[in-house]
Amino acid sequence: MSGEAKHTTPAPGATEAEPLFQVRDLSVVFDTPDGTVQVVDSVNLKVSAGRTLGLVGESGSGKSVTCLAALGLLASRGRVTGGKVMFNGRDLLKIDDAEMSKLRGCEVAMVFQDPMVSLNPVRTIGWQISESIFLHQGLSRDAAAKRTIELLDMVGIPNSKSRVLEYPHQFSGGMSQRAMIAMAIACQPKLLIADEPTTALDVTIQAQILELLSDLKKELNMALILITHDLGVIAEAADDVAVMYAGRVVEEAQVLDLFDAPLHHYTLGLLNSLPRVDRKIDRLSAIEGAAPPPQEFVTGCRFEPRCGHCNASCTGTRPEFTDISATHRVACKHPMSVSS
Amino acid sequence: MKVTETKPEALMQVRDIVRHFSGPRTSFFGPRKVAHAVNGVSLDLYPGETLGLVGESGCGKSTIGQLLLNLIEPTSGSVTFLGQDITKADKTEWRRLRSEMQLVFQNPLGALNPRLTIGKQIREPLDIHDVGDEAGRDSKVQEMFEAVSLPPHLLARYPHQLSGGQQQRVVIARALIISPKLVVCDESVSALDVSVQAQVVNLLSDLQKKLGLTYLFITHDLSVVRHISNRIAVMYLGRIVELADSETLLENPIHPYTRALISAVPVPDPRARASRAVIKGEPPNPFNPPSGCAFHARCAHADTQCRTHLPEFRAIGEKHMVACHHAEALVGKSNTDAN
Repeated sequence: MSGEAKHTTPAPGATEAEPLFQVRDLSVVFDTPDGTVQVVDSVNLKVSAGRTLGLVGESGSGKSVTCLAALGLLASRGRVTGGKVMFNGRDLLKIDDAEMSKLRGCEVAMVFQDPMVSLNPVRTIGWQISESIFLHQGLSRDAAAKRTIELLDMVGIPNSKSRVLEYPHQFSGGMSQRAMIAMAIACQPKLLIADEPTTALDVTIQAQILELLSDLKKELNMALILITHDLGVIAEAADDVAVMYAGRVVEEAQVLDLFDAPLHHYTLGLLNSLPRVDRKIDRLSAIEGAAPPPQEFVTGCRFEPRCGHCNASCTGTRPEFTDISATHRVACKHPMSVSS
Repeated sequence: MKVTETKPEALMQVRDIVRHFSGPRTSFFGPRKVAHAVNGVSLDLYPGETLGLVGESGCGKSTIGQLLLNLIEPTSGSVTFLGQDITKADKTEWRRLRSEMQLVFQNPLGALNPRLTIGKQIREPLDIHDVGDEAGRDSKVQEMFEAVSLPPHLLARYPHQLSGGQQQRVVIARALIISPKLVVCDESVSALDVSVQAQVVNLLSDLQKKLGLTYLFITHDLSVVRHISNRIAVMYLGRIVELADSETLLENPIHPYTRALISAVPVPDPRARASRAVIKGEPPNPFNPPSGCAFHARCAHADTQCRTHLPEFRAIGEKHMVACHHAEALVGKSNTDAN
């Protein structure tokens, strides 16, 4: 199979159809003892059924908070101050808690980074997975137990019949993550948000989990949001990519476009600073400085202090998005030239 | 294993080092299970080089780092540093030797004292080893601080006031201030963000050139290790399975595990997607290691010999050591050819 064939291009007319999940101008603030800090600043995201949106950024860029806020899972200090989160025609920020609980874990599911922390240590794996089926689908305990075994088979856990009776400490990291994924897909969600699902795992296991997620996405025709700091994982698994920096999305593109012709200087800097296993690089070209903490976010371009291409126009006002093509847009006043 | 005469003298020689850890009892009066964390590893570290030690979690790579610095005692085997067996050195000898070797961990905040200012922490090794006079120590601290590219006003700050990248620079400055010969970096850049990671990797290689340091660079990240190492050793379940120059190891790996590991690393190039060969299964339990070659259950080339006999760690070609029964047959062949 050629490399090209593995990238799904959107069906004709798909761009006009309403995406399954859409975040519009979402802003989130956190109340701290030192005042209110804005950690997510007018973020827009969208993902359609059957596609994977890769959300990439460094720690503190707001990628996890955006998704947590969208699902009403913010810690008590966090507040949404504006925007809409449209899912299947409904605004998730407007529905009440009971409706949200019904939706979460059923139509929308989430998988987190550390499976060992997400699982309950005093309940068997089988109990935890069937709980979700029991609650959301109204199946009997027996039927739920049967379905649990099917799910474990689906996510590739061997000897599923005996392993449902085991406890989380008897599972390895990779197997726990598979169990978490089984729990997430138990009700055949339309949207799965995976927050750094492979970061705590070894590379050989990471490869297995990414393959599993991509197979499940196809099988269940889910929309998948993959949050990661690793551009390698993005290249491996995403169809569309949104790059976040300091609480804002700075570039959006389809995966091939992003890697072939990155337009934002941050995206390019990030790509250039990656050490690569497939080629020899004499010296890594690091981006100078570090990403600012939310207390020091400015209104102008937030990458400006680390950018070599900025001038006076970059400070003061927020750079607007420029559409380079139907699927590629960048928030920079001096983007990399489109032709090069 | 003989060291040929043309090679420079090794800074550190590790010979057949073994470390067991005992686990829980099998029953109330039963024997304890034993994990073979490191199971007969021999290594030479040459002055000025970086040896990368890679492997998945639980393969024993961090245990090797601790054994090399004598932080834990080996069950058997020897570690010779500057001509002296450090596992047998007495207290005074050991105190002197210890200043020649330093360690940089993964989590800088955990390695720094939260109640001491940055300046005091960097100075501490000089006080402990009684190097120079008061004024000399202060100027050395400033010099070192500059060498790791930190602005001088941070000297009076506390660790929590610094970013992760800055903290790791402080840890590096503290490790290097007493001019060690050997630095063991155990996942030193793994916790850092990509853009900061590149800065610290560059800093480590600059300091190596400037100060003639020898690194043992322990990591799970093959991309970083390719960039920083002269030679790479790949570990699997307590043993080294392949050892070669970085370029040789990554361009022409022989051991099926090395090949699987390299192909599992996600490459930041969406066009490279199709070329992946995902290996099945998970690393075996060190309390219950498989017979023969530890990798046989996950290996596409395994036969009866692999299941029963431990492969010898032997030279295949120049400066390329492999522990695989099929190593000779695998040279020049890709993993998929055999399937």
